[in-house]
Amino acid sequence: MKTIPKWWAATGAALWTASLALVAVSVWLVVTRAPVEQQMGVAQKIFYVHVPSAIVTVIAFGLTFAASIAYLSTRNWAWDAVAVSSCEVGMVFATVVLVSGPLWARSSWNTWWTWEPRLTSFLVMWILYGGYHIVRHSVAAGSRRTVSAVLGTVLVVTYPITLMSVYWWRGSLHPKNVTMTADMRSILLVSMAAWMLFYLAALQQRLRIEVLREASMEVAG
Amino acid sequence: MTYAVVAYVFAAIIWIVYLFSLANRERSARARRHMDSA
Repeated sequence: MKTIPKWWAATGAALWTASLALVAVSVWLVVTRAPVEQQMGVAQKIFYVHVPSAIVTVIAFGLTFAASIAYLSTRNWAWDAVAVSSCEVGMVFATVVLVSGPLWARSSWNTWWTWEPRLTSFLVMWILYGGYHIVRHSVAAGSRRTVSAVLGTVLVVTYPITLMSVYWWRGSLHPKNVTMTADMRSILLVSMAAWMLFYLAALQQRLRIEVLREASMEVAG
Repeated sequence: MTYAVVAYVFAAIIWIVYLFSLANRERSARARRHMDSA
């Protein structure tokens, strides 16, 4: 029967401790040390949660793609568990991006939402990856993993569209390049490391649920 | 100032809700596994 090894539980506790500590440090740095941008003012500090969350979203969905390919190649249930877990955690990061973005936009662009290329493509990506979970829970258990893996593979087409949208279409309000001071860059790197570690902590906890479910199905079935 | 505070508060709320849901689902999965193996 599948069980959760002790080292995994220990790693999980260590990951949560390290990630929560680093997130706290990054928020403290944002509040006390991050310089106030001249044009956008304090609202620009949304940058330190918005950008790392967007980058982690891309990494999380990237792992879903890689694990889906691995599942289709090997038919090993563990890859399906990694794919669905990473997709779910990625969806939460994407939701943070979609909530923090309009607040920053209202302050900087004087609008909550505009159908500009990056916003629109990111929203479409969020809806499609949300659809991944809906479809996964809608299909029969026997074909669930295969259907999910095919979806996890196909949805990778949203990547280049979202990433390159600022270059491919005119009218983008998102900048192609960002100029930062050394302080801004270093605090962004700390925030990036903090949210990446947080992603890994959430991912390992979500994976534990899949292992427990698999163990239950094995006993039942 | 307000927008930045609201953004961080919303982000915290989203994560707290998600982490509680993860903990609840893990508890349910553990309970089911114990029932199945009993």
